[in-house]
Amino acid sequence: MLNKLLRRNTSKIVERWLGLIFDTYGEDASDFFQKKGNRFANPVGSIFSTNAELIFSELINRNDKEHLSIFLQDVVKIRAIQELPPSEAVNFVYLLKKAIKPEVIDKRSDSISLNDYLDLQESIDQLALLTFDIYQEAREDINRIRINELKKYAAVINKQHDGSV
Amino acid sequence: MSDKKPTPEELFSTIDYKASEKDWSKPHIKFKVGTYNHSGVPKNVEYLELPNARKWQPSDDDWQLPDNWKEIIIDGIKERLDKFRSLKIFMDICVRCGACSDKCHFFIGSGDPKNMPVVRAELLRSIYRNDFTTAGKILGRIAGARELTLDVLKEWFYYFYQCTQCRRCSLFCPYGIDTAEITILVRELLNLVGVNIDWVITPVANSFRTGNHLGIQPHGFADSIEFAVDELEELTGVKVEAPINRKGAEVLFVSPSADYFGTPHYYTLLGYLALFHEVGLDYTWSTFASEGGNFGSFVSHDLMKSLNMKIYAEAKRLGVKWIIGGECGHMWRVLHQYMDTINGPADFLEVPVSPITGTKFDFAKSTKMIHICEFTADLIKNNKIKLDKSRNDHWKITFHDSCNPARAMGLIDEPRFIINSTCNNFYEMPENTIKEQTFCCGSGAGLGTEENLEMRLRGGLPRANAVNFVHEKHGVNLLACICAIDKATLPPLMEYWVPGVEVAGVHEFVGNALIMKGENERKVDLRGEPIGEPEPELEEKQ
Repeated sequence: MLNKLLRRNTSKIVERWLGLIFDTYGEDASDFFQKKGNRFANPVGSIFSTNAELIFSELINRNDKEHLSIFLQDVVKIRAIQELPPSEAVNFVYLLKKAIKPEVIDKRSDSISLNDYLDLQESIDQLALLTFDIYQEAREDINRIRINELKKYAAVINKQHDGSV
Repeated sequence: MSDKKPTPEELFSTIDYKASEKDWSKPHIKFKVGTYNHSGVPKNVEYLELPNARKWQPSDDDWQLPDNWKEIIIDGIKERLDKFRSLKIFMDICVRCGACSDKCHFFIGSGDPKNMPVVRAELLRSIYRNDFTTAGKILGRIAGARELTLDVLKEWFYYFYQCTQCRRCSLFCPYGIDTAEITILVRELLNLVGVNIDWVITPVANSFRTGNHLGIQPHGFADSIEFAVDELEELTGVKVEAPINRKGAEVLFVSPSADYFGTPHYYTLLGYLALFHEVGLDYTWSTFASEGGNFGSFVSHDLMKSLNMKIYAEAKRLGVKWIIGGECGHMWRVLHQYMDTINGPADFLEVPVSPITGTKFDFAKSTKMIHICEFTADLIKNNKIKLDKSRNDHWKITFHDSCNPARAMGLIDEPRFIINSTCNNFYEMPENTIKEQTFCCGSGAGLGTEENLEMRLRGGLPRANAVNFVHEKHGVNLLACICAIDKATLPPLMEYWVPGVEVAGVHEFVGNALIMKGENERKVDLRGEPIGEPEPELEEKQ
């Protein structure tokens, strides 16, 4: 029953979720990121909007870890380079709980079982753990790329000292 | 998520007339590791005779500024307002229409409002109003004025070293305000009190000392070129000549130094060498004009002038008739927008005429210097070289218009003509991300260091996003460009955002496709990779 409710209200929930995510960037950024239009003029807004919908649909339907990883990756990679502390970078997943809550409370009914609700919370917690793994991978990527740049530079300097450049 | 358009009444009802509670004018910058550049090394600051050489870092609380730093900056603004009419106009005419606000790659990637070009410029304008306008002096904050404080100075450093001077914003300004000029001048002001970055200062000092960014000495330069000549012979079977400091040659060739020590730049160098040999160009390299890049333009007009002059001094010393410049970025902005008034006209040289086609490059009649893409496109157009496009079939290519050649000199068609003449698989990125509207690599104007990587990845997101589109749609596996900074900084950008896409210069394709007299059967390209075989990843995609 809960799943049916979530499916029926997908666009409302995703829109609310996106609003909460964009608000983490502050007023001016939020306005810009929420602008619809050309995906190349506003990649952050466009990627978040597209992927939030994909993530939510996957979560309430198949809940396949591999698919979720793919949809999460683009979002997390962006959060990983935006000067956010790790807790804030991955916090967007927990905001989904906040986005869903009004739907459940508004339409409180006996047909929504506590079990279903707790299962959903559990799925979102699992999603958060997956997000943290991807975040960590992205950070490691950044460090690896940084080290490679240093190595490349050091190689040129060494060549220069050898007299071969 | 409804597509229904709101009515005017609905729109009006959403307008919030209250001013923001946040006060943008009182900054407090936190310097997070990974998002700023390290300061200039004192010995090189001294070498350039710039003021206030000392050990410091932007993250220090005490920047060890001179006691009268405020006076120095305000006097510096005054001097520049008198000297540059453009600055005075840029300070006064902005109407805050917002056309530029969402055009900066750093704003698009971060959403930080102070990365909106209009606001970045406002960081200086507010000081200008406070000290140089009557309204600002009387009305203060109401007139958008604010006092210069240490926090403001730190804010300048933070945001004006987050501008790559790419000039995308200027393209959209109805008044033609060139925000890059504002960045150039604020950096010049910061340098008056010894606030600078090492990735700019040290290359400039090296360029003064030995002629190039890395400080490579003449014998090292000669060794590098000779090594490339040997390697080209191994790859093609053809021994080419690469004359250095040869007096009386017709043409001086100047390329960015990364071409002879960096990868993938090096493959572009092999392309130049093969081409010049094949058409029998009478040319020379110079060990002192061994750098096209002009990082002086990231410090001050004076240093920009000196480094540009170095090229012309070498042209004079060697007695050449005219100059060809390689695949470089901001060298071309300096050449097209400043050279004529700072050092030109170069009357001792001749208007470039291609000795192979007879084409007279009239547009360069004052600077006497043409871009290698102009030279090569003219050769191809006149059927002066034989090309086998299939030798580049292992690449599916897209072209990143490097900011300065595209926006500062309008070099849009020539590189595309060359790519289409040397390759079979070329795919354009979306229209609003290329040509004049090209997105910056996010690392120009001296920001391309590893310590600043996170900022670069953020600023490079719009470019990478467009590459990703053609990578997914067409299986693009190569990003071509004509700028040395691009060649150095796009590979890490691709590694993070679009793994599987390599980076190359346009003359690498020319070198691959060029059918040289007496060459061996080409089995490998200039990278030593098998010719014509699609990359494994690409095959999977198809």
